[in-house]
Amino acid sequence: MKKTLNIISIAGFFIIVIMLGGFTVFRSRGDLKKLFSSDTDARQTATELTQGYFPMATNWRSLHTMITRATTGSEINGIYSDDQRLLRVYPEYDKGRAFSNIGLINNFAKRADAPISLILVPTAAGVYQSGLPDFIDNTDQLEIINSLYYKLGKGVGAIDVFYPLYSAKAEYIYYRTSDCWTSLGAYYAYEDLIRQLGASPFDLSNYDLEYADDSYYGELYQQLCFKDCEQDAINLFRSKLGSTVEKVTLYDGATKLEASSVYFKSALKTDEKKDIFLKGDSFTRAEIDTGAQSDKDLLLIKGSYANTMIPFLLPHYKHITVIDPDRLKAEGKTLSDAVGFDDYDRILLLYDCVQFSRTDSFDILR
Amino acid sequence: MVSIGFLYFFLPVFIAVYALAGQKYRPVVFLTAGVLVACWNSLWGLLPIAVSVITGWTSALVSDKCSKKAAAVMLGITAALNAASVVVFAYSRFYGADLFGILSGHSLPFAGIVTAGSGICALHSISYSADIFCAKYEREPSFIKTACYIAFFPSFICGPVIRYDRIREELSHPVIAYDKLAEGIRTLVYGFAEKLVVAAALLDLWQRISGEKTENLSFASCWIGAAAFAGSLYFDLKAYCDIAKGLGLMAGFSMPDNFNAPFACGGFNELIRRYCITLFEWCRDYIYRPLCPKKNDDSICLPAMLAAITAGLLWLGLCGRYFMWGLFFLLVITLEFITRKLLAKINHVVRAIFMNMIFLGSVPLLIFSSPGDALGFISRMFSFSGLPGDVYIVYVVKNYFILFIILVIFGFGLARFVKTALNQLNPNIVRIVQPICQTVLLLVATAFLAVSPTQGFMF
Repeated sequence: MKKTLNIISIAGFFIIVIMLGGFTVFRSRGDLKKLFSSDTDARQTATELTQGYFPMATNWRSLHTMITRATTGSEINGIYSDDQRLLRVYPEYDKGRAFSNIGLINNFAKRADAPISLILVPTAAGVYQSGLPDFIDNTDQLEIINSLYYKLGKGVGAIDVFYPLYSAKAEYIYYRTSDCWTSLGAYYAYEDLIRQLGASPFDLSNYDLEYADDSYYGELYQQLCFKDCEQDAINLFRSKLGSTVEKVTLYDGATKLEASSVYFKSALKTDEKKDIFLKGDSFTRAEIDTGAQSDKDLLLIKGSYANTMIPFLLPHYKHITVIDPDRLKAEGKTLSDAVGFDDYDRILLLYDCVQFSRTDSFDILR
Repeated sequence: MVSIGFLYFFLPVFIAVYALAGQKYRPVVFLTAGVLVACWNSLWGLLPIAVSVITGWTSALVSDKCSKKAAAVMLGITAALNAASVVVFAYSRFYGADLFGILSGHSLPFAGIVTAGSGICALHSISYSADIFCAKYEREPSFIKTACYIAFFPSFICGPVIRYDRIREELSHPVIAYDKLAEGIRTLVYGFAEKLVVAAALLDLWQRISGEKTENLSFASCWIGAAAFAGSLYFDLKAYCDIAKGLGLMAGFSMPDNFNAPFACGGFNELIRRYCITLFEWCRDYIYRPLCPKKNDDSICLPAMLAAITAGLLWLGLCGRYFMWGLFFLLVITLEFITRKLLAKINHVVRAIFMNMIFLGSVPLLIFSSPGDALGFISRMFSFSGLPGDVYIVYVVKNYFILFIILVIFGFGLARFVKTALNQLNPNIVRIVQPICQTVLLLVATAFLAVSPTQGFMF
């Protein structure tokens, strides 16, 4: 019996190892020649190939999450999980960079003619912080937002969206599997934004809810593959009065893409389905012409959260220019290279407060 | 070694080639595998291994062929060169302390490059040379087999330290046997699980606790933090030794255990015999015994013992915190040695509890770079205050309970006790359970590796 069980042990081990190893080699066969290329580091390439092509990645991640939750608790790699949602927690916050960005915005405001407003949106962990256990280390985003707003100069208006979101936290305002807000979350922020800008927001009853997709798994899920967490839905709020969009032009370097809607449904076929909103962060500049009964132009300097908000802003502006500072900086340009910012009636900067503390792209405002 | 590439690609290919090579060519395959492991990070990795192999081989040759005086000189040169190799390669590897750069103002080209095996190869080279010099056994005529022993790659990361006479027969006739292969696979898989699941989780707990300011922690959290660090260090070292032992067994080599339930010891003298056993034996046989031939003379034995322990601690590291911890360790061992007759009258369990308390109390010296931080943490541990409102206690009890159970089971030798009891009851129970555990742990280890493909040595 001992010998038989030993043979079973040996066979079991080598079957698993050879199957998984062999399958990885088979899957990576197209890229194997990179290993022998003189341009690349063979060791680095080998590590990347084994990581990239190792089979059943989702299942392994899921098993890893299950075991880690059982042995070390509900926070894994900075993501807190309960049965309802995944939350990326932020134990550290780069206040220095955030204040430096505020300084750049203040300086920009001195040069710009148009009124400037800044919206700092809390991430899901900021709004749901009270639901986190005490031992989870997470930055108090309300305190951060308030301290940053306090440093804003006279030329920059602060738009508070924390409390509207906090009041609606029982509703579906953030995705369960992603760090981003949903259309409903963006709507509540829009309501407050437009009011603070002195206009009247459209009531929610003016919109029809379109269920674009009900099987979205966000980036947090893709990191953990936590099976107990429910999938998300991508919802679009369609105005009952019809779309005001006449033309959308996206620019990315020399590439130009024209469309007739701010919704790009092709994104629903990819993993990052929330890129349905203005193609996510894949463009440097977007020019949106609308048929809105308004003569105002808006320049929106955006972080990732802004995409979901844009559909709600369309009926209020004749023309909206959207600029992604990160991509503009990567192209080696400044804001004045991309647009004449004095031609706009309002300049709006919309960021989530975490991205705001991480980006070093506000020097495009110089 | 703890990587998906090692487990799923290097290992099966190595075993296949090794098995197909036949007894005659297996040492060549084994040595080639060692060379590949050594130079995986950089070709500079070959340099310390070459130093150890060449000095060991030459010293043995001189001992065999030349006069006693020439052999003694060569043995001294071998010891000095290997010690220098450890200082230059192993220390610059672990602590970024480029000693040559500090002394000369010019950095060596390999400073900071991970050079696996430089520490172990040096010990192997010195022990082989010294044994041949003392005529404990005959010199190995084959250079390849000598190199195989000195550059014994399964032990590269942190041991165990092997003696040549232990594997001499197996090196001459390397045989892959079913029972050794099966045991090797089991040990290797257990090692991967220890490293990836237990050691990493305990280190994670320590990092959470150490992320908090010491004054915000209760005394209980400080003790838990120290236990988590000590546990992660123990499991990390044990994991690598188990992986080495497993790999050695798969290739047909019987390797010694490096740990024997160290936390069940009744004192520090016993602890050093059961924690990194092979390193202790090396220091005993090649430093302590030559310095202290008469066992009953305390005036010689105590300094000899301190010299051996100092050498062992220096081998482990040459940074400030190791030095501080080493000093404390030496002090405790000296006191224990002096009061050994008195301590012998105390019950073993009571001594074990005190030993563990003192050991955990000293762990901050090993952790913190700043003596002030270490002493602050230690004083917090013994302040016995701050418990009300301590969120970490709730956190640990809720989330890390299983890991501490595992630490107790393995650290105090309960696992071995249960295995022995089950074997006495019915050996088939253990035999049937083992392959199941092995498969489950392999899948668990794979899951962790798939998420983080490469895991480095923590310390």
